[in-house]
Amino acid sequence: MEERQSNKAGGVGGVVLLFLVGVVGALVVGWWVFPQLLFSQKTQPILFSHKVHAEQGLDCESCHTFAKTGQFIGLPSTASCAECHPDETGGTTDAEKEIDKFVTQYAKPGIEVPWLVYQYQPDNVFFSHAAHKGFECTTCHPDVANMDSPPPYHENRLSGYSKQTMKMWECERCHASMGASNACYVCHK
Amino acid sequence: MSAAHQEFATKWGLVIDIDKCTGCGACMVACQTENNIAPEQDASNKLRTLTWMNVYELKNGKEFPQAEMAFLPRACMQCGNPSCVPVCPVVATDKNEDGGIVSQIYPRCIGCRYCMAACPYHSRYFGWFDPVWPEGMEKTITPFTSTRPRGVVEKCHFCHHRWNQAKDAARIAGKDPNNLPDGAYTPACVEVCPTGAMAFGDLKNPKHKVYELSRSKYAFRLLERLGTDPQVYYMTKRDWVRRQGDNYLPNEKA
Amino acid sequence: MGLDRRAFIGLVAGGAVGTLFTPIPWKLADDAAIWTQNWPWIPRVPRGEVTFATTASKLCPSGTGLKVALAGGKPVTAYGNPEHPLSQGGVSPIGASEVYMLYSPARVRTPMRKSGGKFEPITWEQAQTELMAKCKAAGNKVACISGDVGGTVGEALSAFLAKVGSAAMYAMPGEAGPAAAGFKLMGGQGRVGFDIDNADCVLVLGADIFEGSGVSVRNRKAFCASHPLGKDQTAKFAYAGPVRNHTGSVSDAWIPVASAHLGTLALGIAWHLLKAGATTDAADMADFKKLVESNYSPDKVSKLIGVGPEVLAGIAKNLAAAKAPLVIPGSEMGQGMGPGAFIAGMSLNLLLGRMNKPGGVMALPELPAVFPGAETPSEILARDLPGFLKGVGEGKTAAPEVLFVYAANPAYGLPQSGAMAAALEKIPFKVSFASFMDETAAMCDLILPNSLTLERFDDVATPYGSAFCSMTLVKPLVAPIFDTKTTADFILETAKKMNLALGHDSLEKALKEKAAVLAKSDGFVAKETMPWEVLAGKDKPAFDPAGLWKSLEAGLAWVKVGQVAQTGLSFAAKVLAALKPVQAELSLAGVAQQRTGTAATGLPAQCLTAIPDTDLKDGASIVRINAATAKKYGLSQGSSVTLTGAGASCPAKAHIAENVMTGVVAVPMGFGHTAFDAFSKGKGDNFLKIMAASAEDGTDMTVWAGSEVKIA
Repeated sequence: MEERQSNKAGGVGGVVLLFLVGVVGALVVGWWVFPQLLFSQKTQPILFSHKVHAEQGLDCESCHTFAKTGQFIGLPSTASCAECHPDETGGTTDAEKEIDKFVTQYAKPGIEVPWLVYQYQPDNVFFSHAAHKGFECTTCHPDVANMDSPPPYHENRLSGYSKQTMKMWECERCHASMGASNACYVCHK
Repeated sequence: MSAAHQEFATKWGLVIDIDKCTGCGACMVACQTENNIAPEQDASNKLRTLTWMNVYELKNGKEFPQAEMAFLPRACMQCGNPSCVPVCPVVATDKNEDGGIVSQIYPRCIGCRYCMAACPYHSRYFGWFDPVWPEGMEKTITPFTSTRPRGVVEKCHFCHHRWNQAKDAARIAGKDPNNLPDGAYTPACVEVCPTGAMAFGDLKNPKHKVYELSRSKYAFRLLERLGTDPQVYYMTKRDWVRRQGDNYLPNEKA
Repeated sequence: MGLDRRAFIGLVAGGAVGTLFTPIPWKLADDAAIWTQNWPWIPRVPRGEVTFATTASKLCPSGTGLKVALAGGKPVTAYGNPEHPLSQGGVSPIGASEVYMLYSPARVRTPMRKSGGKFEPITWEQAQTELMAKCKAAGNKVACISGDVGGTVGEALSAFLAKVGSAAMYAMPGEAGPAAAGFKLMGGQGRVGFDIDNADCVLVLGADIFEGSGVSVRNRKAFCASHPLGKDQTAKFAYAGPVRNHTGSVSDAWIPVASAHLGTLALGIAWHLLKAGATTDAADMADFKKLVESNYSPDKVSKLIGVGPEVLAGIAKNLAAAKAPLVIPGSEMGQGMGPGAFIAGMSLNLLLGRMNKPGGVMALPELPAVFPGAETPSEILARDLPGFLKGVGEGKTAAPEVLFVYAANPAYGLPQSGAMAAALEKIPFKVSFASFMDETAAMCDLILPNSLTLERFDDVATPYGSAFCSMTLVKPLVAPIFDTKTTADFILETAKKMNLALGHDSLEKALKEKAAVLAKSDGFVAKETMPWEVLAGKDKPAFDPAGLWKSLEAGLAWVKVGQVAQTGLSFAAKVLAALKPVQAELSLAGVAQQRTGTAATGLPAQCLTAIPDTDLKDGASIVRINAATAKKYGLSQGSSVTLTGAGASCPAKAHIAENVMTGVVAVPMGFGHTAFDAFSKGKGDNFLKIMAASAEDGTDMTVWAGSEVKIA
């Protein structure tokens, strides 16, 4: 009778090795491949350069303002952009072409630019910028002030929301640490 | 899940003068447009309609010509000791906010309707159907209250969004958002009532008119003896109306 | 290297364990949960700045200013304008529905022409050419039925008719018509309005002042002011009518009186006032006194109308003892009363000396016209439209060749509506300017849809019942959503093309001119001071004429406190002497609630939930009778009944309610539409069908309130 030579140590070692391979493989797929698949990359309709506008002497409040009612107008309207960019430049640089794109596609027809909001929240969420006035914008938003072009927008293919959309636990954590109420209706509608 | 009586520093309350309500229904209509309740083609089946604010007709039970009528607008009582909150299996409803408005979070609601069974005032409504907006009318949806699918329970929330708006307006005007003057926060129904039959404010703030009104000898609450501690007070000078506020025995005083 | 079973399992197990330490299962579960909440068939809420704009409601007869909320520039909901004197924040169910109505499925989206029994869309140019040709051919045989005669648009239509040589402009029936006709017969000058704010004892004869009659929101605000929450009231209200309706429910007393007998009640009270020595310097004072003393003694009146003599005496005593008594005559359903009944009610105001006094009846001047040739609203209102159409239907009156229908729905909204619709059919060419496909538009040859309130310029001028003159600007908040036009602009353009230029190129220009003229008319802008305060004696505030248009654009109202002095006011005793009210064994009492809209709006989609299931259930109308009436006719709760009158019948279900007089069937108005959309169609029946239109003795004006009905 043949003795089946099972090199127990080698056999077990082989299983263990493959087990570890499986683990590492899964970790790689989970942490690197999966996000690539889950999130699509989108670009803003207009490649707006905050840096250029800041250099022109515009501060944040020039375009991101509070209305008298207390509502925060985070996205400036086409009309307000058109105040400085009413006509095409007719130029050839990338920046000038982008301005012309804005003027022809949005300013002249009077259409609002469909900006992709990094912190897009669902319909049932109420967020008050007025209540959070004391915080730096960068506490929650990417620091676009020094960027020459808007960062890529990662859209979750399954849920439809942005990768940067803050989830409820983040708001709750800060509320709890600041002593602000975590009652449902403070943030929901 | 809170099962006991809740008390907060602010207590938003309604005071409704039944002797002034003419039953016109402007409050019902305003509530619907404000809170994105879709129009219903057959609204005569009252077991299926969504009327966060509903006006009931009261009668004194006497024969002609002694017959009298009254109208009672009923929103959500925002009870101090709510029956609906302890029974929710998923905590979609809770009374945990200063001001005392009982919240109702639609994405969390599983539609079991246990809260509807618990509420003695019929204030809660179940969305039997998906809301259908005639073509184009969906453009009149306000940003104030999220839209709900079928299968969840909804109810009046004292136009909570208007409180948020009032607080924001106070913040950027440099005023104290937690000490709003009387009238800074008014629900839609109170705002549009042509007879001015309703008053709204902080029941605990002596500077708000509801403070005195809720303590008037003519003020009463519905089904008070159940112990729900409603935040909605009614006023009437008519005894027969007052007696309909609870299940009184013929010999009991109201 | 070969993978044996154990190795394979090891790999998979490793993968599974590793996966647990990656976001995959947790994120997928979380995202899947969020995915289930993305309901693509439910619309999302709009994003965008919330702003407010002002205008005024043209669909609601109470003339309230509106404060419209806009999200991202699109209107989303409307409230009353807190700064507007006729609103003060309050709004009726109709005004609140104006935003949803923009998208009503019943809207006519483009001009239409009827061809082969069906409607086909045409262009505005084609429509204009056809209309011009028809008008030229018709010469002066052009008529107009309008639901809006008081404002600048009414003037434009009237001026157009005048230019083609026609005086056939008619107003849809309401409270204002009999009031205008009655006041004219009394020798009165101006238009009547009622100062409820400063009255302390008000007797309402029929008019549903706290629901849909007159400036109903303003009336309710006045009621609110005299009934402060939790305190003693400072004014008493008594309601006389066949049904204890919404007005009756908040009044201190209900005097059950049949519609037909409201005038008799008034004269019965006058008997007591005369006995106590009331007198006026009217030319026919002696005739009036003799008439009342002979025919309206307490015994006679009591027996006739069923109101006890002590009740009559009590009412007279209250009125006489009050500092500022006021009697408001009208119809319980807002239409169908005769001028005779109006005069009878007004006689009490005369005896009490309430003409042009604070808290009394105000005779208001007409606002200056900016379209030369236009008739005054009073002249138009005093005409008898049902009488005219009845004549056309019976062949007694020549039918016009061309009919314009503006802001009106006569095929639905007139008594004996079946016969009226048939009369309309006799008119060879009909043009409707309706915004909705209503019953009249459905029978017209051309539909030239008017833009809705929020899409156009317009004005609201001194609505009926107001104690002060007013003008409120209506301005567009959105561009027209469909291919509609402002009718007034279309008429002005057409007139110009026909070489009948009316004097202004556009409605907006005419309104600016109107403002300029009003600025010189000694009024003011109601803001910190309200007109009823000025009526009470407060100083008229300063007024900057140059800033009027801006104030109007900001939603404020121009108002004027001032009355027309009466030089020849009389009791029209001859008319009163001819009155012979006849009370049928069983009569109808229409109950008109604002939640059913108007004839021209149909049932607003938003208002349907406000209609109780004691008015409408499963498509059937429900009528109210009291237990005594039910017993007499062998009916009980829920019985099916067929009501017949005027040669037509309406099926309904009976509801036993004690707020209705014995011998009266209370019927809900506003149902039974056969046009509009699914929100209005197939719900109940139109009780105007069975209301017989007859001529009032003494005035020959058509009346139909309290008409006879039979239960089949």
